Amino acid sequence: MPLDVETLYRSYGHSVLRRARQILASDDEAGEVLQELFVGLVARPEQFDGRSAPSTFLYVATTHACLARLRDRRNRMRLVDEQVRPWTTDVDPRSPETAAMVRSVLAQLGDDEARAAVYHFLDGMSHAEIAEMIGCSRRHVGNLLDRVAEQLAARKEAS
Amino acid sequence: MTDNEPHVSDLRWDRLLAGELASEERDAALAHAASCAACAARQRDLTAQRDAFVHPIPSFPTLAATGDDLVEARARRRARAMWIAPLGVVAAAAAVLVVVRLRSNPPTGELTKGDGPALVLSVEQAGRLASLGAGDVVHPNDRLQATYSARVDGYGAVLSRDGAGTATAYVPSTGDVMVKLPAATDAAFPESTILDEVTGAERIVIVWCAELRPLAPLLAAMRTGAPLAAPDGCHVRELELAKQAAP
Repeated sequence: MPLDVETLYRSYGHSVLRRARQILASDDEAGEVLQELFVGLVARPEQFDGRSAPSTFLYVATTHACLARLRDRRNRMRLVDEQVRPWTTDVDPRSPETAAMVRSVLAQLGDDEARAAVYHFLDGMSHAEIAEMIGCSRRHVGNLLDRVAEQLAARKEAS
Repeated sequence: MTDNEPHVSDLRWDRLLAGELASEERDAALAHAASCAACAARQRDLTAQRDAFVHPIPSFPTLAATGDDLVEARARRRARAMWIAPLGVVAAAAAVLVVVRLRSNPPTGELTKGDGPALVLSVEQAGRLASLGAGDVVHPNDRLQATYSARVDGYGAVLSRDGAGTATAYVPSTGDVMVKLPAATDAAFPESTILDEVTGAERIVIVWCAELRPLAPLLAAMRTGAPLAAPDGCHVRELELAKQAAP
């Protein structure tokens, strides 16, 4: 049965857009990620093999797409500026300061650390949920987040 | 680092909103929110954001097309754009290109909402193709190629204002009017462009119009340095690239 991308878009587009905004702190770039992701699904529907829930698949895909963008050198420069001027929209009301700090170090983190940081600090996931998303043990998630915490502490000291 | 197991994550709320959770998981999340102000607020926030989601569906013709259509369209594009052909698999991978929301004036004539074209700019660097977004870095001698998807026949141009403030038409490279762009999915503009040595911020504007238009007024507008306003019946994608000397 062909993948109904339009239905997927209507059901999950809001989640992709919100998370892309959280990670990138840019409405324009979040909109581009939203469109890239769903147009990519039209072109390559086999990306979603149905073995996981659509939300899980889209969380992984969105995180991957956003982290790739963050590694762009210009984005890194922009995010350094943002540390001085933290992002204060209401997208993540739980801890905007932490979110801004996390975003400022994402591009410098290793891939697993960056993904764990996004899931933990921006999505509020438990270690168990992160372990499932990344495909590792909870202990490993703890180790990853410890390393992220070290980076955050170093960044805080430097600022 | 402590776990935050007791709280409800965004993933869990998203799954609940999408109807993915089993009833016991759903009940557990709602029971937690009933006694946790932070999670209840987050649930309200995410629900409101879902309800407010009004982004237009991306690339109407692209979404309407089947996977086979896209493969055929890519084949047509490769046949038309000679510079892409030697890149083989790389070109196919890069053919899934960014579709952007277009800034445009309300179209006139036969154009209606949903008929707007998708306009994409890609770069070939060291034998690889990649779609470009605002702020991306390009270098002298990189090759730029614009592509489009449109349901109706139209006309187009690719314009540039380089770091020295010079406005130029990349496509067409000669002539005073736009090139014809037949209705197609993921088709290439008829010419690509090799970037010169002038570095700095380079603004690229891809223009698609329902009717044939002269280039002179558009280039004059580009020279002012202000964002290009889309003329009636036209759609514009504008992005500023960072053109830097080759590393």
